[in-house]
Amino acid sequence: MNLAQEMDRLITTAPPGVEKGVALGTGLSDGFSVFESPLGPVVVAFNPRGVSAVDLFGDGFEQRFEQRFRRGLLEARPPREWDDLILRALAEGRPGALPVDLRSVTSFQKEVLQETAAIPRGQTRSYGWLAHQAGRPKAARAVGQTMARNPVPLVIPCHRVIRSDGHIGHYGLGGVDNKQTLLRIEGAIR
Amino acid sequence: MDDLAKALAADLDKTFPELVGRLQHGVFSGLRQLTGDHHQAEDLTQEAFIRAYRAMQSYQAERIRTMRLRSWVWTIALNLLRNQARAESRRPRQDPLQEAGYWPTEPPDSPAWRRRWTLLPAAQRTAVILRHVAGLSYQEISEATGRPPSTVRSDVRRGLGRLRSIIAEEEDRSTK
Repeated sequence: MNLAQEMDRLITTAPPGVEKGVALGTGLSDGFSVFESPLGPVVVAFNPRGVSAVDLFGDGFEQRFEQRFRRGLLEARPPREWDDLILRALAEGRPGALPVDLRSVTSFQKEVLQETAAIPRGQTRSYGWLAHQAGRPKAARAVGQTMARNPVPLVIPCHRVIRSDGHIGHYGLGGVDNKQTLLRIEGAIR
Repeated sequence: MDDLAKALAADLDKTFPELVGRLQHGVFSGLRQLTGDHHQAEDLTQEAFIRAYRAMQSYQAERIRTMRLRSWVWTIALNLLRNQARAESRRPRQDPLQEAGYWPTEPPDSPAWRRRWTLLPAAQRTAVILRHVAGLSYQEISEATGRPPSTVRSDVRRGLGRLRSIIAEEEDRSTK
């Protein structure tokens, strides 16, 4: 065999992991893993900036993600140091040291979500209270919309935000029953 | 490639996967020989494209439109190769299949080639691999390595000559 032929044999195809690794490393696609939560298995999406979405594990989460965030979603593992942080955030209902990617919301919504993240477990706050904290006391309705847009429920505990008349209000992650379940687990309601 | 540069300038996010799709096999094949290691080559290939993307994000469209993509990606890859230790410490852990060693496509190691490459001076080795494994033109190799095209040409010629005599010696030895 001559040299040219021998060298031709050195031309190979890149392993499939390259395209996937590049998609994840550039943030053109987010990765996702399934984690246990107080509501059962949930899908946690992440990219180099942080955790970008939490959704119930089941049909359609990939389509919902792609529709909302306009990025692809690939099954992957988060950075090693985030594994524990994600589990703890889901169990305790607060981000703690876990980075969260909030590029998908407006700056007002981001401020409201940051205030929401600080509501202690076992307590609740009203939409009006949050509006006040965010410096727009008349914006209770916008706060309600922000809760509906929360990309990372459980991690940012929007389930702790209820109506000022004590009515439990809406919940995006599987409906009001799940909100009640969470508040009961946390001892905020009976 | 010129069309691809124009498309990247117009919509980086949409077009970048196509750049990866077109260049990844050449980049990986070349790095596979330059490193002598499948996984290291895979890491470096990924990292080179990730860095290329980040750099392009900061470039004006006009600059991207006129870029010589293949040699530019190789400039990044060769830099990474020089700073391998740093690249390895940054290795993302993003692929469970890869970790579990499920790749079906890993080619068998070729100890013969690993030995042959070590017998070539670095500049000749790089030039021959970029020309005959990664498929770059002399001009592209010159751009990627910063050496004049005439020097690259003679690096390739001498490298091939050396390889022929190395292989002839191997055959001699095996027939004795």
